Amino acid sequence: MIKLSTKQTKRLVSIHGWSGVFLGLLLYVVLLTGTLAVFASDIGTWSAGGMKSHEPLRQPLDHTIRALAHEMPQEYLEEITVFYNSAGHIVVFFHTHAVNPEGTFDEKGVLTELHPESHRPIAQREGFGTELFGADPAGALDEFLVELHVNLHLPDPWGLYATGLLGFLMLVSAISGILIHRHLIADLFVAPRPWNRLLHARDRHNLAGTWTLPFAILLAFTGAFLSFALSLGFPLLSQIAFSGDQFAMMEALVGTGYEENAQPAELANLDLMLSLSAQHAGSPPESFVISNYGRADTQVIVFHPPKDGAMVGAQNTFDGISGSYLGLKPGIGTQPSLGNWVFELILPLHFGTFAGLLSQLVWFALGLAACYVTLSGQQLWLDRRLDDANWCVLRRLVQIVGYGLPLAILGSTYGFFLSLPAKQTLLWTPLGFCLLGLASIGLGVLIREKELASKAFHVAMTVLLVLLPMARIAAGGPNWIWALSSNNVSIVLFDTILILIGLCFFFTISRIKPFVLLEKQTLEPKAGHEQ
Amino acid sequence: MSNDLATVIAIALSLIALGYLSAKDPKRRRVYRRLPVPDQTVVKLAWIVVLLPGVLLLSFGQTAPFVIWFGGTSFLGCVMSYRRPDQNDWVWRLARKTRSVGRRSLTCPRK
Repeated sequence: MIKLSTKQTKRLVSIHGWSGVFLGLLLYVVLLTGTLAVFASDIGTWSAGGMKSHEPLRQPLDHTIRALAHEMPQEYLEEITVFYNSAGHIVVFFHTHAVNPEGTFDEKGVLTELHPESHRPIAQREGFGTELFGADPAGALDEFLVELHVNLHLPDPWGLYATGLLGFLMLVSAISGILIHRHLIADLFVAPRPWNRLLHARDRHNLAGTWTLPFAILLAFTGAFLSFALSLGFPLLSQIAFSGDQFAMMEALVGTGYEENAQPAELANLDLMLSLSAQHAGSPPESFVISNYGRADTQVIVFHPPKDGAMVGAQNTFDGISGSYLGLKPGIGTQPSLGNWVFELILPLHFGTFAGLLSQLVWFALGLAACYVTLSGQQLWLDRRLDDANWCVLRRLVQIVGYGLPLAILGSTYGFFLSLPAKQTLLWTPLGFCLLGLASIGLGVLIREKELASKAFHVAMTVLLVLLPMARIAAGGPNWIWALSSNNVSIVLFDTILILIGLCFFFTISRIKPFVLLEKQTLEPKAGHEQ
Repeated sequence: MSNDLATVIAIALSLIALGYLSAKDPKRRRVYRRLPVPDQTVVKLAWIVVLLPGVLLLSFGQTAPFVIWFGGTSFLGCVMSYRRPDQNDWVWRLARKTRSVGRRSLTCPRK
């Protein structure tokens, strides 16, 4: 128990409450989209119609990369990035580094998408990295959700400032929550008491908040760090230490680890390097980068996901000419350091993708719990002011945003699938979100009675969730027989989960009713029930 | 044993111990007007059982399973505590029933 004076407690309660009231709904948007973003890659695969090939970078690529490099302008051979997208297509990005029209440090080059088995080019685009990576119609849905989480679709850098501030707000709420909750440990097992509306609201907020507190702090801190590092940290660092030279800053941060040598030279066998790297890392390659292709100082860095039981993946470095293994490359700098260790740990701890499905499920559950804490906190604030008409608007708003956001996300998914055959997903995904968002606002405004509005939202959720797998198949997506036979079990799993969640919403409709007080006596022990 | 299976077992072990702690928790019992448990010595042991899987995972260098265990136990512990004692009575009835069936099957029939 932390002892505070009454005045201090009152002040902290005000900070905790008012910060939640002002920015709680925005925080809920970031939290819910972040919770879904844990499955961003799987959502991408599901929406793109499954992976055409598993572990695409395991296949021989040496010949294909050489043939493509032969056709590229010399300047784009400075760096070649190879990875695979949500559909399992191999993406090869030949590029150099330049400042884009917005004045920020960017990559500029040619992006080629290849079939994972035949290596036949599917699409080719030229431009700046920021334009090229958001222009894939098949990846529009997961891209939209991730962008909503990362910057709320606000222009750079304001979106990152906003999400960074929301991360700090969550941190402030968590810490002030610890300080004002006097019986944090003693109340750890106290189920919400149903004989008083306020007590019930407070108990459920405290219970969820206490159990998930370490993760709330962890996610808030890592989220705020990532937002501010990109929007504020790097630009400030480049101004202070590198006189505004962003190229020099990136070179110093990432570290080249080789001496310049522009003499022409032939790349060693790429497939052998990839196979050797997989042996060292204990996991298949996820992506790789070839620096200075065709020169004597060519270097190849291969990126791997974490091996079984580890938190952080590996970056193996090879001499591109001799093909010899040079060792592990830290994410920051060329030598292992404490800063690099912390930085490399922040990413998996925030994303929750370090151990496959199990870690994703846990992060998803904790994300939902954080959403629940945010909404239940606002509900508690409003329940305490039930007789005050001034809070009526916020009461309606909490309900509209609480239900409206998942509905709008479903709208973006429908928008994506319905426009997929015409390849208009980049337009219709955000438009679907806006349309269903507006419909939710309309529903919340038109139906004034809270319980009735909740029932209407539940019906809408049920219908949209249950029909979504059918919309996916109708839009040309793979059916369950193809998915199962081509080892794309995740598609069937996703469809099933959506239908089940939809049915859950349906079965909870009847349970929506005004708060019913349970008498203490009804919960008293009966003979034979006492342990 | 795969890491995923080890993590799931670790979470299950901690949850069983948390279930016991939840049932014997003095404040929860007082709030829901249940008789207090006089002997609290097993409670300390139960807390050790809750934390033991995490310590074991860390000592074997399994950092990712440890983090998942911590998160999973926190979330499921919250879900478990959310239920009122009267909603959990079926667990105790089932436990009593299993115990009595077990006793009956182990007792030699009288001739």
